[in-house]
Amino acid sequence: MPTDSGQVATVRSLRKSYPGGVVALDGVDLDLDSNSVTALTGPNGSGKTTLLRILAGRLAPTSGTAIVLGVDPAASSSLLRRRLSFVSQELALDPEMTGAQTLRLFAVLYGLPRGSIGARVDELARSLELMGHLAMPVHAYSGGLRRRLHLALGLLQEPELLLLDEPTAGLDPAGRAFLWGLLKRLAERSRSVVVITHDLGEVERHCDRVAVMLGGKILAFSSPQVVVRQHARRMLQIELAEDVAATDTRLANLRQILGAKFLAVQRTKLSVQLDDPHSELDRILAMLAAQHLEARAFQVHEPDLATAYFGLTGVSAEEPPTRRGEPGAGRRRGENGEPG
Amino acid sequence: MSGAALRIVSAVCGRTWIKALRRPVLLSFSLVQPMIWMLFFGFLFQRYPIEWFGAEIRYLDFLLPGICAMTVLFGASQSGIELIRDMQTHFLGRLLNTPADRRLLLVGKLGADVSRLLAQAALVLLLGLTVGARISPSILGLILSVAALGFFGIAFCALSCTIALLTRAPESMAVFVHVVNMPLLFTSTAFVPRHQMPGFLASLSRYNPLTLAVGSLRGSLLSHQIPSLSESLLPLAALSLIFFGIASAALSRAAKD
Repeated sequence: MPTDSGQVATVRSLRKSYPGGVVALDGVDLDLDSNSVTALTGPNGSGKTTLLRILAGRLAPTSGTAIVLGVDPAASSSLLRRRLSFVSQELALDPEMTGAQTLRLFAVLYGLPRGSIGARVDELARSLELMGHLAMPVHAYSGGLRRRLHLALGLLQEPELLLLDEPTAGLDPAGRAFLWGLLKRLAERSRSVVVITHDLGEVERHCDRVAVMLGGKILAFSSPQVVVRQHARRMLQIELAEDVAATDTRLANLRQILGAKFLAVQRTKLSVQLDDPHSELDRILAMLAAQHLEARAFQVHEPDLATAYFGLTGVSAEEPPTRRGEPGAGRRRGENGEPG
Repeated sequence: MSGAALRIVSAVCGRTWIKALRRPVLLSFSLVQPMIWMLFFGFLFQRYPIEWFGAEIRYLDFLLPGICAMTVLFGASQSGIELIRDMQTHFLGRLLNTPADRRLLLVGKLGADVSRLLAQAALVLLLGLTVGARISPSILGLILSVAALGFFGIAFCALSCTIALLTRAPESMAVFVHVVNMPLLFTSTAFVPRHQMPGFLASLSRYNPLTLAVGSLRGSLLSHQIPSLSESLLPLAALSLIFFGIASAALSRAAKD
């Protein structure tokens, strides 16, 4: 049951440090709404998984408070484990058991009534397209099937709060689409979902809220639309012909010329803020040529969650596959192409 | 125990049994090993005097209960291996994060392991009879001595699980065999009557839990004795409770990263 304020979880000044001085969370505040899908995103090591594990009661914070479904998850009560489900990134399956044996075992452990187990297993197997595979041992499953079974175990008891750590990893595009649809349906059925993902396009389409994390802090937390409006900028990404070191004097010159518009360089990728493609594109390419930096290709990213993410974290999220090297995919002058 | 608790125990017990049956090589080896010990020791020491039990008792008859208890000890020491496999596949973490009472998960696992070990011990007993050992059991004595052997099995399965949960390393199980099993075996009355041991060893064997389990079984199989409640059943039951408690605590600790 969500708290009176309509929130399934409240986090205040949460801090987690590991032996050796590594700070995974550095004063996180967060309110998670009930009946919603919230995405946690950020570069690797930004503290997303640590936060999720603390919410799941799998990890104790160093300081600060977390209240999940009205209780402290660190107490790891049996009641909370019944109402909450944590689906880890690593697959937690016994390769020797069949899919059916696995589902039935967990149905008993989650306390499902004996008479309803068969129907629930069938329902989940049908909705996750596992039906024809239930009699097979898990070691014979493909990666995608294992991921689905792993997820099915997390859904068995219809948790009030579902915590998912990169559930789309290893799924094909159809599997990803299916999963996001499923999460949306869960939220519609008064369930709350928190999902760690780098799939920003899907976050924009399907999530009610998104938290962008970096260095153990939350840099932005709002609806994807608000995050885009507040942090996204049109961006020109240029593929250079050579791998340029960050200390290269040509980059230093370029940084000086472009000023705040110079965003980042990652190996052969140079990112520049582009306010007006019509007037600025040719000028920037000319600047590159003047610095003897050859541009092999470039693309313009319109303001979206990916560019907001880049603006906030300074690193690019997963490359959006439909926007790169696909002639005709929303192409207009200078959007994707070879430098003229 | 409530119906729901019983379902949890039987579900975990069933899973453990299924996994054991999927490893017929391991199951066969766990029978072959005690048979080798019985054949070698039984025939090597067939002239060993054990007049203490009466003229009609031969060394092979004397040895058989010891080998049965040894089967339980050796099998129990491997109980933790399955937990290490479950930790390696992250499956244990998933089991522990269900709402099921973690002590019930342990009861299910130990129930399956101990029932399998007792079945193996019974098979070893039958195999011993086929190679010429003779017994003259009392039914009540046999039931109580099987209970004593069961308590002994619970204690050492729980100890093995504790070591597995604390070390998370399969190698620790090999160390367990050498550091726990062998000293326990050779300071017990499994192979030699206590009165024929050197003085210090005889004193030590008196407190050895394997001696308590072997003594009960031997008495009931060879001389119609009823195992003593205060000298074997209660101490072994207490030991199994203590080790179960320690293993439960280790299991709860393993639920946290």
